[in-house]
Amino acid sequence: MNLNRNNIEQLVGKLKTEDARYARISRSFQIIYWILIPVYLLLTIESLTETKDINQLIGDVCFIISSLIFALFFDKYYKEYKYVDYALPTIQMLKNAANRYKPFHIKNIWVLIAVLFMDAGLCLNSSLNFSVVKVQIYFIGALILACIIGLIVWRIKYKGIRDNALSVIAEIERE
Amino acid sequence: MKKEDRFNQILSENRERIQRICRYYSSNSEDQKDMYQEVLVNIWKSLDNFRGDSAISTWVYRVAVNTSLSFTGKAFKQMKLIVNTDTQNLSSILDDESLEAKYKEEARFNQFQNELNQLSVIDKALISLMLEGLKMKEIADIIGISESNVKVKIHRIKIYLKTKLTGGKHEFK
Repeated sequence: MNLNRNNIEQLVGKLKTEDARYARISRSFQIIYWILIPVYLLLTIESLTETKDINQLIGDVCFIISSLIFALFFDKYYKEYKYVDYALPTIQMLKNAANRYKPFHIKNIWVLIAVLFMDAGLCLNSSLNFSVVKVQIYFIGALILACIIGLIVWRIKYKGIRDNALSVIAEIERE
Repeated sequence: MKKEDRFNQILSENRERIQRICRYYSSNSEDQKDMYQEVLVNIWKSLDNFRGDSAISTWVYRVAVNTSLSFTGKAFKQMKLIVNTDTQNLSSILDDESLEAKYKEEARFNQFQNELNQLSVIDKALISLMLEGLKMKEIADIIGISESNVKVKIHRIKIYLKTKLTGGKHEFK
């Protein structure tokens, strides 16, 4: 069973690469919300001074808020899902797994809020000239499709994991 | 100390321990190697969260046991507990040295092995920790339940095994 010194060094090398990849992804999120969003905000202010269009301003601010929520949410989501802590007491690890693999999370409401801001941004942004009705049809359609795909993926990939976790938790907690 | 150095130190101090745990869950050397590697990966992933609140051996056992219960791996549904006749703490399960001697006969030992594998996943995990010679308190820390709960569960497992191995003649106390 012994992994020799070379194997271990290779393994550690791979793990370090994985850590570096995580650091890069994390840095990308930082770039989005510390550089790109303020830059877009500045452009919005500049556009307002030129056009004096309040609808355009509200639309742009909605885009900014939406991008900020997405960036913050996915950063947090990525940190949470990056590594599972296997050093927790078994029951705690199982409870975390059962919670992680729930089909719906209250915190996902933030994604919906971000989508609504984007929706408002698209409707209010006069430079895009989109029809409000068409935007709603596409948005609702995309949301329903995303939910259906998400539920199918959850059922195939994660439901079994969650059911197993719940059954082992029940067994551990049985007096 | 750098993460890599800490990892190597943990590995050098706990290699045998991890290998023993892996041997409980598979008789196939390739599977043992896969599980050993998975435990190492999970030690690395969990290392940033190690605060030294528990003994490093307890921490390593947690990672090893949790890895064996890991849901992404193939081992979960077919997980078997492999015990060797030379396992030092075998008498701690059988609670009886003469019974232990009897069950070291191959056929009987196979029966014992089969009965062990009728146990639930978590009972197998408890038995593997017992075979490691861990105290009830340490097992409780690893699983995350109270010491008294561990004692009750292990007592039940022993009664179940004795009843099965003595053909149902063992009296429940």
